[in-house]
Amino acid sequence: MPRSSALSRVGVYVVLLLYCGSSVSAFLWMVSLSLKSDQEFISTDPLALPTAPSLASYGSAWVTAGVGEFFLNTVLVTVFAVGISVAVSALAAYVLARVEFPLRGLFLFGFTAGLMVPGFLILVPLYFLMRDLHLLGTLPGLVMVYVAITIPFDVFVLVPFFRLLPEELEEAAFAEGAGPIRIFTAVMLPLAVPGLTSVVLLNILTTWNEFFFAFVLLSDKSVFTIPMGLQGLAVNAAYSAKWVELFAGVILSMIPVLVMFAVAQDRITRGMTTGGLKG
Amino acid sequence: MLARQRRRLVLPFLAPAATIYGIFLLWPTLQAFVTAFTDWKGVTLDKSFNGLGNFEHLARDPLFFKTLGTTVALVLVGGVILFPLALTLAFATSERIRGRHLFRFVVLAPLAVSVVAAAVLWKFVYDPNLGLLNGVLRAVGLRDLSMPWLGQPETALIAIAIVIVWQNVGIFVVFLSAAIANVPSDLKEAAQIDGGSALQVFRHVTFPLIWEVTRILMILWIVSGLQEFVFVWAMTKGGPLNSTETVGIFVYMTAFQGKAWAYATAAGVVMFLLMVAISLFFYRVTRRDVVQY
Amino acid sequence: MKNHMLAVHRPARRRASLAPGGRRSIAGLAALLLLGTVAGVSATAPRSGDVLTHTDPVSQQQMAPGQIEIVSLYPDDAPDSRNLALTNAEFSAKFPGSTAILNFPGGQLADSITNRWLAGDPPEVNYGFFHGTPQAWDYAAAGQLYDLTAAMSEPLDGYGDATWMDSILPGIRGFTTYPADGKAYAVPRELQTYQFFYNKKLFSANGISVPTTWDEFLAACATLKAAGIEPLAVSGPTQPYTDIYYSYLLARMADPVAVQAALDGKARFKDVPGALDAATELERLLKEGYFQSGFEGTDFTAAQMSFLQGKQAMMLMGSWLFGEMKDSIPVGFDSGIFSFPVVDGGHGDPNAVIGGVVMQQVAAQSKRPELGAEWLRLQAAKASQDRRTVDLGYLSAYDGAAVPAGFDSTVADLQAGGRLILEDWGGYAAVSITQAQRDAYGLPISALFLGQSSAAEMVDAIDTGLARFWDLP
Repeated sequence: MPRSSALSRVGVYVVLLLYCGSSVSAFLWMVSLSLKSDQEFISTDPLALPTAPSLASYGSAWVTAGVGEFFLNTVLVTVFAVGISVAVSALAAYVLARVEFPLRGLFLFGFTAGLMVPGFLILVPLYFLMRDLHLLGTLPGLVMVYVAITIPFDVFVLVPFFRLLPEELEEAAFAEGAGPIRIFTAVMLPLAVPGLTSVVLLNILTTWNEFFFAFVLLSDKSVFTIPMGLQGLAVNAAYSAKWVELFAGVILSMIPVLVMFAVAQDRITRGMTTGGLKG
Repeated sequence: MLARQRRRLVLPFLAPAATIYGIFLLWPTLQAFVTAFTDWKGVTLDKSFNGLGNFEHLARDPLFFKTLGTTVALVLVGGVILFPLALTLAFATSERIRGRHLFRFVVLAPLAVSVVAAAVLWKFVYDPNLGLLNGVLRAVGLRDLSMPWLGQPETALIAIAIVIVWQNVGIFVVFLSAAIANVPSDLKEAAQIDGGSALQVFRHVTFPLIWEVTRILMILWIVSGLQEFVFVWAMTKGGPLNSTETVGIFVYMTAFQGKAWAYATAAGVVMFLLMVAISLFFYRVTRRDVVQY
Repeated sequence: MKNHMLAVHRPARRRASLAPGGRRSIAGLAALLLLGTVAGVSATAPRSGDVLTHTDPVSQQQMAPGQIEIVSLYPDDAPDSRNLALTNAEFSAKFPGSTAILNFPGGQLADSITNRWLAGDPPEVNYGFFHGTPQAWDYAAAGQLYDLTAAMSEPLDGYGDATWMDSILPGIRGFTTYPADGKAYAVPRELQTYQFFYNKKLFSANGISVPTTWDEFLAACATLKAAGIEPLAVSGPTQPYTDIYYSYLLARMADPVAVQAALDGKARFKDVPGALDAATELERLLKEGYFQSGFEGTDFTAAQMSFLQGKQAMMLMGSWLFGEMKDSIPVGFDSGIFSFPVVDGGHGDPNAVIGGVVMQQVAAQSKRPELGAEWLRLQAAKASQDRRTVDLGYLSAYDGAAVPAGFDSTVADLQAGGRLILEDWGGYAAVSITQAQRDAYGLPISALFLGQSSAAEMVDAIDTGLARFWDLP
C-alpha cells in the first residue's frame, strides 16, 4: 500500500497540474493580451509577449465600462441577493428534505422546475410584472428577481445535503428538550455548512456576472451593474475590434471577486471541511 | 412528536422562498407558457388562441429535431468530459497536498469570469491564426493539427463543450468536495486498515456516500446543458452549418429574429416537459438507498 | 422657423410646402392665427413633464420642451456615439429646454428596447432595425411607427429647395415608404455598399492594376498567390460576408429581376439562367485557394484587422469598414476601392450595387415623437451628413452630401438612379428574418465555402430550400 498511495499521489499531482496549467495559461494569455495594443495583438504571434506592455487599456476599460461607478451597485445587489436567496432556500430545503408532509413532492418539483425554464422566454411577462409592481429599473426589484432565479438552484442542491444528515442527532436534541426551530439552528444548520458555503460561493460568482436580466430591467445609468458596463466593451470589441480593452475590462471585473475569494479561502476551506461528522 | 412538531415548521419555512419564487419566476413562467397556445408574434401585444397549432408545427419541423439531437450530443460529450474531471479534481483538492489552496483557487477562478467574456476569450484561443491553441500546436511542431476549430462542423461542438466544462467544472468540484468532506474520515481509515487500496476505499466507501450528491449534480448538468444558449451564441451563433445549434439557440432565433414568439415558447414548453421527463427518469434509475452515516 | 415647426406639430394639416420669402410670412401668419386657436383648443392634454414656455396662444405653437431618447448601437466613447452627441447638442440649441440622450448600447434589437416597444413606452428614435425588409412593415401595420410623410415634405437644411424626401438619393427613396399605405415611416441613417477594398502597396509591388472585369480579377488573384500573398480576406462563419460573393456574382451573371422572383417563390431558382454559372465562378475562387488560410474559423473583425495589417490584398466588405475600425488602422495604410468586377458575358446588371441602408424610425407611442422627427431632421441636414462622412467615413444617402474618398462612382451610379440591391435580396441572407429563409439561401453557400458541396449541389440545395420554404410543388 505505500506503493499505490505514492502512485496515486503522483497521479493526483499530474491531473491537477495538467488541468490547472491549461486553465491558468488561458488566463495568463488574456492578461498578456490586455497589455498589448489591438494592432500588436493582430500582427504578432499569439505566443509573443507584449513588446511594450501598457496598462492603457485598463484605464480606458475602467472609464468605458464604468467599473468604478457601478462597483457599489454590483456589491449591494450581490450581497443582498445571495444573502436572501441562501437564507430562504436553506429553510425551504430543510423541510423539503427532512419533513414528511402532504404535497411535498409537488413543492420539490415546483422549485426545481425553475431550473428548466430558459430565461429569455419569461423576459416579457417579467418586464410587465416589474412595471406593474413599480419595481422596474430599481435595484431592489433586480435583487428580488435574482433571488427568485437563484432559489431553484439553491434548493435543488441543498436538499440532498440536508437529507444526508443523520436523524439520531435531531432525536437526541429533541430528547434533551430542544424545540424544532432550535434543532434546526443549533444542530442541522452547522452540519450543513459545507453545502451552504458552497452555495453562497457559487451564488456570489454567478450573481456578480449576471447580465441578462439586469440589461432588460435597468435603464438608468445610476443603477447599472458592472456586467452592463462590460456590455459596452463587448459591443466595441465585436464591431470595432477593440478586444484588448474588453479583456482588460473582464480582468478588472474579476479582481474583486477573486480577491474576496482568495482572502476568504481559508475560512471557506474550513467551512467546507468542518461540517463532516467524526464518528 | 418530533415529527409533528417539525411539521409545524413546514409552512413558515417554505413561505418566504415560495412567495418570492412564485411571484417573480413562477408567475411570469406560467404567463409565458400560456402564449405557447396563441399566435403571438412579439410585435404588438395582440394574440389569439390557436390551440395546439404551434405544437403541430413543431412536430413537423426538421430543424427543431436536429437541434434536439445536437443539444443531447452536447450534454453527453460535455458530461463525459465533466464528471470524471470534476471527481478527480475534487478528490485531488481534498487530499492534503501542498498547494491545495492554490489549486482550488484555480479550479474556481473561471467562474469569476462572465460567460460572455469566457466565450470571447476562448473564441480567440481557438482562432486559426491568432489563437493560443494553434500557436502552441505550431510551436511544438504539430502544425498539421492546427485547424479552424470553430469553423468546421466536425470540431465545433466539441470545442464548445470543452469551454463550457472549463468554466463550470468549479461548481461541480465545489459540491463534490463538500460531499467528500462529509464522509467521516474514520470510515475511510477503517477500510484502509482492513486492507483496502486507495481505489477500493474510493469505490466501496466514499463513492456510495457521495452518490446522492453526484446524481443531483448530474441532473443539474443535464438540465442546464439542454438549455445551453449563451456560449454557443457568443462563439458560433449555431454555425457552422447549424452544427452547434442547440434548442436554446433555435428558440432565441425563432423569437427574436423570426418574430414568432408563440412558436418559440411552444418549443420552450416542449423542452421543459422533456427536461422534467429526463430528470425524473434519471432520478429514478440512479436511485439507491440513501446512505446515512 | 415657426411655420415649419407648426407643420410638424400638426402634420395632418399640411397642404403644400410654403415657398420661402414674403409669401411665406403672410401665409404663415394667417395659418398661425387660424390654426393657433384650433391647436390651442384641441391640443392633446399636456403630458407630465411638459412645460409650456409661454401661455399666450401664439407661442403655444412652439414645440414644448421635452427629453427624447435615441437608441444607439455603440457605447458613449465610440466615434459614432461622439458624433451623435454633436447632433444632440445642436438639438438642444435649436429647441431650448429640450434634450436628446443616447440610449444604452446594443441597438434596436436589444431586449430592453424591444420590451419597451411592447410595453408601449419606446424610445423616440430607434436605430435602424430594418432596411425595408418585410418584417419592418409589421410595425407600420401595427401603427407603431410615427408618420413622417409631412415632415419629409418640408425642405431640408443645406439641400436648397428640395424637400427632405427628394434630398434622398433616388435609389434609396423607396425604402422610406410603407407599400401598403404609401406613407413615409423611415429615414436613412447611412448608406452601406459592398465593394472591394484593396491594399495599394501590395498591388503596386506586384504590378497589378485595379481589375474591372472578372478575368482581370482572377488574374490578379493568381499573381498575388504566386507571389506568396493571400489574395482575399473573408470571415467564413459570418454568413452575410460569404453570401455577398455569390450575391454579386448572381447580380452580374443573372437577371436580378429573375433572381428576386425565385427568391420570392414565384419561380424555381434552378431555372434562373446564370445561377449555376455564378456558383461555378465562386467555386473557382475556393478551388484555387484564394481565401486566407483558416478563413473557416475567422471572426469578421479578425479578418478585417488581418486585412488592415496587410496580410491579405483584398477584402469584399461594407463601406463602414474604416469608420468602424477607425482606431485600429495602422498609420500609413493605403487602401483603395473598386466595384465588384463586371463579368464578361454575364446576363446580369454590370452596375448593380449591393448594400443596404440603415433606416431610422420614430416610435409612434413614444412620449415626444414630433421632437424625435426634428432630431432626425437635424441629422439629415447637410452639415450633419458631411460631418458624418468626414468624421466617420460613412456613406450618406443624401444627394449632395460629402462623399468619402473612392466612393464617387458608387454614388454617381446611385444619383443616376442606379439600382441598389439589398444585400439580403429583400430578406434572404440577413439575420433579421426567419432561420428557414436564411438557411435556404445562405446555408448552401456556407457549405460550398466549407468544401462540403459542389457548385451544382449548391444551386440544387438553394432551389430545394426555397421550394420547401414557399411550399412550391
